[in-house]
Amino acid sequence: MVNFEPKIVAFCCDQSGYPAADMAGGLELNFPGNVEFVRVPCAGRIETLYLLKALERGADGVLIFACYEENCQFLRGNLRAKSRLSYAHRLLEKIGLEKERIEICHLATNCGPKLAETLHRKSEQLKKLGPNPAKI
Amino acid sequence: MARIGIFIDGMGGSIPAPFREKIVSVIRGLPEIAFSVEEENLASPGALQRMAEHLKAEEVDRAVILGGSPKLYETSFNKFGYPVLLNPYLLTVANLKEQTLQAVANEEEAVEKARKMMIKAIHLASSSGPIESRSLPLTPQTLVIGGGITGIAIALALARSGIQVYLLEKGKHLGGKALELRRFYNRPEEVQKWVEEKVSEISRNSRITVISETELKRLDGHLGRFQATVRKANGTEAVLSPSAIVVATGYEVERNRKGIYGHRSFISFAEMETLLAENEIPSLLRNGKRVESVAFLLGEVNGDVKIDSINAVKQSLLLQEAFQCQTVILCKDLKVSSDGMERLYRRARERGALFIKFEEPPKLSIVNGQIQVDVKDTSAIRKEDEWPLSILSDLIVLSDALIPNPETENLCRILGLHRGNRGFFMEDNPQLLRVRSNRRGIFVAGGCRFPQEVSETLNEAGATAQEVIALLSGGIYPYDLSVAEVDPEKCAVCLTCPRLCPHSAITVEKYAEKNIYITPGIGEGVKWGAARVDPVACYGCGICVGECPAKAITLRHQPDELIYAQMNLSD
Repeated sequence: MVNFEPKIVAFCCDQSGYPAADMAGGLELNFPGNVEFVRVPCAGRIETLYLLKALERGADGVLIFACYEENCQFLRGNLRAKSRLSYAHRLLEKIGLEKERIEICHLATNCGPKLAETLHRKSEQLKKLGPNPAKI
Repeated sequence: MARIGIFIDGMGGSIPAPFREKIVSVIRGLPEIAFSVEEENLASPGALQRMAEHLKAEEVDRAVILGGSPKLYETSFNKFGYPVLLNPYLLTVANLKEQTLQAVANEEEAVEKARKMMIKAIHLASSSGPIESRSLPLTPQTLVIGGGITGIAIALALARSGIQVYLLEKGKHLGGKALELRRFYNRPEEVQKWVEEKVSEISRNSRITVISETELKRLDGHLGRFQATVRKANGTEAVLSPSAIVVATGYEVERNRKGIYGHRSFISFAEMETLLAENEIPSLLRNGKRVESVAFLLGEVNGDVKIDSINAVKQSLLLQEAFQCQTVILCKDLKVSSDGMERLYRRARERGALFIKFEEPPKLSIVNGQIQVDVKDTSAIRKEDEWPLSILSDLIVLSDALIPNPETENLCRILGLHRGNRGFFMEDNPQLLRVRSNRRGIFVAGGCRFPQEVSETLNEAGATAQEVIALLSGGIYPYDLSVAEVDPEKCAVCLTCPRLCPHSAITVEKYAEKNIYITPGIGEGVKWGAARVDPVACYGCGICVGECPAKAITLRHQPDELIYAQMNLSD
């Protein structure tokens, strides 16, 4: 358990999250070791199933990087993502998994530092929670 | 098994050679990998050409690019890829620069991470498929809704470029709100003459068909294939098939004259404009009485004082110069951001107009049959210099509320557009795409987006005309099929996606000619409707894909498998 490095799947909206990740890289802000970025055209693309499958297939935590509210290029895509996230939270509660494992973070293209900070915070939080027990 | 070519972009030295070598060494000799070459500046069209030749020579169709952010390459790939027979959707980019080299401090860890990312990209490349590109023929025909000055200016500009224009006007005459104005603030000529000139120019132009006393009733189809049903006042209907639509319905004014505002001293800017035009210099008469002092009260009705400021300063100057009136402009804020307004404001001050800035709204009372305005001037530098003032003037000019056209809501429903700020039409992006709407091929211009000044609205008309010309002048609209697609056999016609689509690209047309799907097994001739995404209108955001309860919709360029492959998890 000492060397537990949580695996995070980070869904990045192509309009905000992904450029922010590029910016964080460009600023040489360190990412925690075990992050997989998944690029989606809009946060509204992320299905509830993806969030749950990610946990099922071995991720310890899932992050959604979406645009700020009322800032979505496709009007309400980020709000759709948020509502699907709360649905996923309800399902997690039912099966007795910590709902902190899935989280949404709203940012803009110039929020590289916020993205790196969120990843680190999530990584620390997951270290405390321990490995994902739902992993098959 | 798909074979893959690897291209390594040096990024101008950002990815050092030893680092590249360490990464590529692990995959050398694998059967999937056809070759690996080093290139510089892969995002350039020249490099893309070389890449296409290289892939062709090796008989490989997929490539993985090890370099910087995919966003860097994609614009170029999408633009130059198809012409050199390189499908942009078969090129996968591994973002080594931003996500490993710069994001991981420890070099060994960085190499490890980069190798993982490369292998993930190879998996992605082998499961990706080509997406074809198509083009849609466009006829040079446009429908302009609204015959105000915006509509007139757009119609004239389009006709000059050889585009056929249908100009739809609800009323009997063209001209709209501008006819209430008499003078421009920044031009010497009179508005009405100017509008009349434009209208006669339109009637002479053979490319413009003015359809007056007509409203839009229904709109079907998408960019290039719009079917607009219009209904005349006498009940006859006609169907137009324009390639693009411009909405320029303008704004409306609403007069609220309740309580003290009903007093005869209060007049609106439009009434003042008429008064100024009807009276002969040098005396201003209203109902037979001479007017010697005029106060303008701004910020009471409209939150945005831009148009009111322009009108107040313009009219105040005219009153001072031609009619020797004393003018007072009471305002909380004054907006002089329009072209030439700063100069006008200075001139008004020099001629003796009083500008009084207040914080608390002024108190109004009736004294001897006149309106007295009690206000505290806060423009003084020292607090003790702030004097309470009482102003008695013959006339008080108060703005009318500028509100969206009452038709806006109905039009939005017909056209599939959205309403934004205060119920006006919403643009796609307030900074970058000001005159585009959420639907491809439909543009919104002028006062229907927010109340605008004449010069501002003419600028916007020019911008809109330019956009329409850019869209239609090529004669075709090229697009690729990186869009959502409905499987009609799974579609339950639950209407979730048409409601959700931000671009109104999805329609369900039961028993229509185009959208009938016949499934074998149920019986010959059994027909039912299903949702259909129009590939021209779709932006590929995937919101409908995520929401479809039957999972009947797929995103062509990013199916579920690609998402799972990007997660890079064990299963």
